[in-house]
Amino acid sequence: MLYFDNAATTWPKPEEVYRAHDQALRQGGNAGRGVHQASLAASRTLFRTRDSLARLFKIKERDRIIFTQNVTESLNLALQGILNPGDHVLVSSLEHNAVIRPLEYLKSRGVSYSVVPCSPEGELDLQVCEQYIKPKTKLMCFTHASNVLGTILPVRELGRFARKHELLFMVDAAQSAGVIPIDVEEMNIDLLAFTGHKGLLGPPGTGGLFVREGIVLRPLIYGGTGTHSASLSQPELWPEGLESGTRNVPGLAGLNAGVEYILARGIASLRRHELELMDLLLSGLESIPGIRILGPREPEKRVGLVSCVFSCHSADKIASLLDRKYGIITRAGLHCAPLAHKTAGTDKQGALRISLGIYHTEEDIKSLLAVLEELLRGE
Amino acid sequence: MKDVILIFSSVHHTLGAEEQLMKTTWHFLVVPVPPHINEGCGLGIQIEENEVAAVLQYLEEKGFSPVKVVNL
Repeated sequence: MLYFDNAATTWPKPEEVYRAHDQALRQGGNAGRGVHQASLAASRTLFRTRDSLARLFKIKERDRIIFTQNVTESLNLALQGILNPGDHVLVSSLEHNAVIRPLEYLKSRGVSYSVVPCSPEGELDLQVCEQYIKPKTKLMCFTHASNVLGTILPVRELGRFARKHELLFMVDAAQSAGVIPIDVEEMNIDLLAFTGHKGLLGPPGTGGLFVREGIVLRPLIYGGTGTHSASLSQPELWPEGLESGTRNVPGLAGLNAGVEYILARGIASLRRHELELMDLLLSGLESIPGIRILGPREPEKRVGLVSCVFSCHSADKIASLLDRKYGIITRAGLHCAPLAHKTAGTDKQGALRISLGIYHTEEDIKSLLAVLEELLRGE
Repeated sequence: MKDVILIFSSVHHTLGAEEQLMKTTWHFLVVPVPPHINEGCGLGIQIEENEVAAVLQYLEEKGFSPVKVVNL
């Protein structure tokens, strides 16, 4: 099998991730529930994972990292936890449904939002952004990189823009965490939502939200925290007060191993490898007649994914042929991001998405290109 | 020798203090907080009473001050 669906979930994971997951599952213990050795070991696993994430994202306050199941939960926790009736939010036209659907729900609670349009390649103009600010705008919520077009948004400039206008700034790092360097201080990021199972190389069922000190956040879920058990009210403490219910300790042990792997290999080195492969992939796709590539041509303007459409076939048909006939895994459809497809003009037909992983080689890319050429030239 | 328990606001802060104390030669133990003390996260760090002042000063410098010190 040749796996090119790393934007959905990365595979395979580093061996260290499998080992850490297995070891934590066998070790047992529920974090924060009891003071026996197994529970303490589980709690220390969470502590170490917060620590490695803090080093990766340059977060000073480790206790402001809350563990969730995935980035969708992180975004929901943030949007439902900080927005109040009357508040207005700015988003881009590249946002995933993980942002848009909670905001649509919040409309019934008196929250409104505006979509700042991007170019068909997914580029954002800050001057256009300025036109959408309203007196009640409280939050800017932008994806770091589009899961459809691959385009990287100018997060550093957006962070400065948010500071200038005294707005909270949240970044959806679903496609960028572990792939592009993120520094929450330098980038003025107030809230960072990430998932564990993509670029961070951890298992599914892991994710998190960083919330800058001073921001008040209502919990999304209320219940047992393992702390202040005599109190019938939710404890107002970080991070446990926002982590009711058992955390996925084996998953988070795996996530820690994934993050430590990235820190050891160096994010810049991983990115260089991705850019080399992306250049090869883009050049190869361009040379095959009947393919239209979405997003910017320059590899450095994107994360490691390319979506494309075909003049003679639907993306679904190509994805299905690649899978069944050649064992090549890609993903066709709207990728839960209809606004991004509308931006690119592909909201009716969808697209085929090819997404790279850290273990891909030039040979893998050449194999994929050869098959695509065979499929399309055969017509 | 009498012992005391340092109580922190959260499990995270308790383990943060543990991490700092592991860098020292002080003897300490992560222990359950007696149920009648309705404060903190249920975990505490037990240390010797005669070392309280020095440990507290050290933890304050490291940003991990306890919310309470309980005599056993």
